[in-house]
Amino acid sequence: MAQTVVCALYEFVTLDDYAAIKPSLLKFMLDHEVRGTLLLAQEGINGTVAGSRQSIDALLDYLRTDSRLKDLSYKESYTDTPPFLRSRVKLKREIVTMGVEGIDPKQSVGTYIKPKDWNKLISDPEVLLVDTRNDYEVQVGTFKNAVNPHTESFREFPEYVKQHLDPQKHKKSRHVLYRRNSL
Amino acid sequence: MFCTGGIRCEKSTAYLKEQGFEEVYHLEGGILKYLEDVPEQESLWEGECFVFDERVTVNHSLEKGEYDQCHACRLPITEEDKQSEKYQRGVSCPHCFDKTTDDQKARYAEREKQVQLALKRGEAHIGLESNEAAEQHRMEKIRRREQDRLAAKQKQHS
Repeated sequence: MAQTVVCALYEFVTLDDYAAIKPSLLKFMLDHEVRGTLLLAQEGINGTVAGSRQSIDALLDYLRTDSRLKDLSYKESYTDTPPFLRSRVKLKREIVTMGVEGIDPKQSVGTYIKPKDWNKLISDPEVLLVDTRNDYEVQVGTFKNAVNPHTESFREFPEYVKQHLDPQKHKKSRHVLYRRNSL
Repeated sequence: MFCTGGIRCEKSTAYLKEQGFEEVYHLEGGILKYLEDVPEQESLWEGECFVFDERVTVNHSLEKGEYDQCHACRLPITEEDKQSEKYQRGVSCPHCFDKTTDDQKARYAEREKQVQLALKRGEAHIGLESNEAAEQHRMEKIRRREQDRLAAKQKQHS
């Protein structure tokens, strides 16, 4: 049997008409037997879907016909057994729920580090490495020397930051920025 | 900062910036991209990566990992967890046994029973197929009831 493609995608992009996108998107998923869940919100799209090579390609083409999603990035993996049974499109307030108003990665966001440069950064003793995932995720695997905030959901993350991280204390890692240029 | 696919870090680093942290870095593409791009010999990743689908976890080769999942609380469980007396398939595991009420456990047990029955009948318990199967059961029931009603009516008239 042909392998199932599992495709994880997200994009922070303003979709004021996100509710109007839902019916046609769901129909497309059903027609092409794409299973899994896509979340739509005013701040963008997020989700993981699975299907045949053909159907996943068709979905990606379909999404990219919307010029706002033309650069949609995604990650794929393969599996023998289909990991989803239903096709769903859900309308949400946030595509990933943190529960803090006014946070917009399109306005201001951290510096992106490519996977090939990551080891060097996290091997620097001055760098505090924080796993932003939930406790049960950290339990099954994480990066060497990563801090586990022990959150049960991502909603708890801002509180963890307030309690445990201090902008003054973690400011001194300026040299990382300089050294980054040679990464 | 890092997360599974990078999306949570977009929000968490945006939040930290807003809180006044000046230097914040995050792993582009998340753990999944790292596992794809960085050879295992050079990897600083330890363990498996939890994913939000039926595979539960993936290993460094992005293949389905070693973990199973408790279908009551959805947390990853090991073979050892499954040996625990707190583990009952679909009902409880060592993670959630003390967190759910007897009522909840009874409901989960009923759901598990339905899942197993559906499996025996060769139907999927959830998903489109099961919707169709459920619809067929419903129609069958309605037909039977209608026949009974008609039969009762005829009896009355005879």
